[in-house]
Amino acid sequence: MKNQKKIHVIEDLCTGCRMCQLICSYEHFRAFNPKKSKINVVHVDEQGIYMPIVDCDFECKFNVENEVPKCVQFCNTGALIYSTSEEAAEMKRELVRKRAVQPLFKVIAPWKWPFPWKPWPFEGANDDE
Amino acid sequence: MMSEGWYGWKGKILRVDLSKSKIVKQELPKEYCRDFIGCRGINSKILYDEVGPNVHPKDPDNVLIWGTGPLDGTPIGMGRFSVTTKGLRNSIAEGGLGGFFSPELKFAGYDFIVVKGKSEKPVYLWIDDDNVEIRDAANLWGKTTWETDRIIKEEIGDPDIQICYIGPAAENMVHSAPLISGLTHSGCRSGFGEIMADKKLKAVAVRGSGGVELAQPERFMGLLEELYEYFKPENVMDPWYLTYLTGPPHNFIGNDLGNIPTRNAQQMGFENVKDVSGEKYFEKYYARRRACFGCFLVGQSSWYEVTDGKYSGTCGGGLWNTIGWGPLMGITNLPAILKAVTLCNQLGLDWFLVCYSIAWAMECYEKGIITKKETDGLDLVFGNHEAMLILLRKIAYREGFGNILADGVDAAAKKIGKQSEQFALTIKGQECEIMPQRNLYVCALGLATSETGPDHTRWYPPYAINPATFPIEKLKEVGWNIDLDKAYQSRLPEGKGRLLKWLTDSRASLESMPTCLSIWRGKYHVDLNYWANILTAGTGIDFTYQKLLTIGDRIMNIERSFNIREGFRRKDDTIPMRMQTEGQPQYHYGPLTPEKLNYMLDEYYSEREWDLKTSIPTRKKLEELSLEYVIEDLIKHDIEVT
Repeated sequence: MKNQKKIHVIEDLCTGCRMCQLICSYEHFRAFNPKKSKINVVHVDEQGIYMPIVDCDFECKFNVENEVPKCVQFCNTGALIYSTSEEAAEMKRELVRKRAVQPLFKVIAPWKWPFPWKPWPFEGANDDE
Repeated sequence: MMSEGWYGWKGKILRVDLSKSKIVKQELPKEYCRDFIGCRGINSKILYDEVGPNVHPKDPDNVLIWGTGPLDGTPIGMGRFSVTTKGLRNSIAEGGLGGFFSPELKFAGYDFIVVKGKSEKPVYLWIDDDNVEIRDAANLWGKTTWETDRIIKEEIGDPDIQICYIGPAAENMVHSAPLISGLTHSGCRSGFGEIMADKKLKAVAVRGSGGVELAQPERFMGLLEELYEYFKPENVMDPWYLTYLTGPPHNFIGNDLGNIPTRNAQQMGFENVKDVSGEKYFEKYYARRRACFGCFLVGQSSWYEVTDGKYSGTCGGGLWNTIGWGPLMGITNLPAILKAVTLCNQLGLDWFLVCYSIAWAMECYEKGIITKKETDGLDLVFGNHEAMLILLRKIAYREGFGNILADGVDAAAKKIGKQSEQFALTIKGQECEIMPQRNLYVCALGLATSETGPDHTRWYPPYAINPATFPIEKLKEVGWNIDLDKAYQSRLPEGKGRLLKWLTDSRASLESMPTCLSIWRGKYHVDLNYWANILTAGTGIDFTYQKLLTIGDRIMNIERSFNIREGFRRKDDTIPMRMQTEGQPQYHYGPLTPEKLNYMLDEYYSEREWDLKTSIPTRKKLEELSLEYVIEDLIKHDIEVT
């Protein structure tokens, strides 16, 4: 049981976008309906705090290629991770350690976004000013 | 809950008459969807059809329309929606905002809310799926937006409902007051907050339990995944990109180019830009990241907290704020700027109004046009952030000198006189934007011709395409024949008309889907095929690149026709006097002279096939867009359509 992978949440990284919630409802019902989702992202707007609550039964089809559930695949922030509890604990430790020495925007999700990111300009960069 | 035969759209318009306390649910006509998609497009269509020039903006017959589009409620929609009405300047008043309100409205089963009439006492609208009621809001009137949010959530007993509301500023009829949703998402720039206050409608709260069905879900998800891959952090993100998107660091780059209006745009670069820069913001005040509904751009919005100093305890959220606030008023104190942003959200003030009117007052003070006697003893020198914060509150509550500024810069300049009109930076009576007009001519043309008054979202981002992101040969196939060499030269009047036509048309149709302007970047800035495909997958109606452009053209024409009917003509498409007469030699650019502006306007109107003298759309153009009824209507109002 201990080595079984599960969806874990790293709340500090959540932006509250409800993408996971939408994708979950889509995987189950083929329609976007967050109220029927197995994930609920709790918003505390006046503090800017967001907390996903995952009540998952793993019945949805997994993304075969990456072997992660769709909700985790679509979480761009790195707040949802699919791992064993040991790995999750290590990720949380890593995050706390990095945050102690670097400003937040550099340590957003070390396992998902390695820092430094691509130098600018790079191919496909936005042609903005 | 699901309406038969509708994919994407829910197929319902909720009509509320506040005078009669009547609520009617109406079927959404399918031809509206085909011709205008939704959101901004259908809003403009409804407004054109229902509000003629004989209706004063404060008449009960004026309508206020909340519009969502077919892709709202899916991650592509990103929670965008559009609010449209006839504003107090008589032009079409339209503004978009993000957040979580519009998906909730879709989940409740409605695409549009059309509010008409006037209530005698303050009310708010409560939509709970099928149950819609008009509730008493006497206890909410005069409350700030953040208090209103809390009280309504307590009253309903559900912290997860979505609400949009107006603040005390709108209740006091402060010029261009916005609508605020979810505490920090604001729809600004044309003042539908005032119309909402005039109707005594304090808030609209909504809870929905339904979902959004798609016509071709598998295809839709495939396309979503493609977009998601493109914007994946490791594919596009870098610190510069991240910080750029949130706004402030833009200062550095813009500052070197001469794009930062400083001290009421007397200068175009700020010597202390480092103090209000994004780096400082990110090191000290950036607390958490936030996002709108379904947004996968992680760096878009942020939550800030000030933990030390005089403004300790200030928190709030937003993007893009500090540019306008800091340099324009010469302010170097970043926490004060953040405090002002939070206050704007709480009081329901348009931050562009505040920063342009205070900057204007500061210049008047500098030139000795006004003294401490007029300013209630405030020492309005550039950079005085304490005075700025006091004046900001005075504007919201119309106290003392604030009462003069609360009518907008134009009205204030008329009242004060003494040549202060010379540096009142307004277009069509609306405070200017921070877009550099003399350095990026397409921006000047866009601001001048915008139907709602200066609003950069109508054509943003203002660049010709990057050939690396979309092959030029393919562009020719879809009828894109812009001269890129000319379009790229930012201070050359030639080639801008055609570029702006393409930009405004494409943005109009994208805003009608809707989706957020932050993802119309890179490849997706030009590749309307992608958007046509995803719209087709979502709705089951066949859209193509060309169709989207035609729809955009139609929206632009109906909005222009609305303004024409209200008496706006070519002479109103102009830029502030300062931009036409003063140059910035240190940044190697001169004024955008009236000759150059006229050249660009000529080019733009002829691209659009509008009459060059008056800017009235021609008969040929309107017929081409199957807007025959608009021709008849214009003729009925004694307007010559050639």
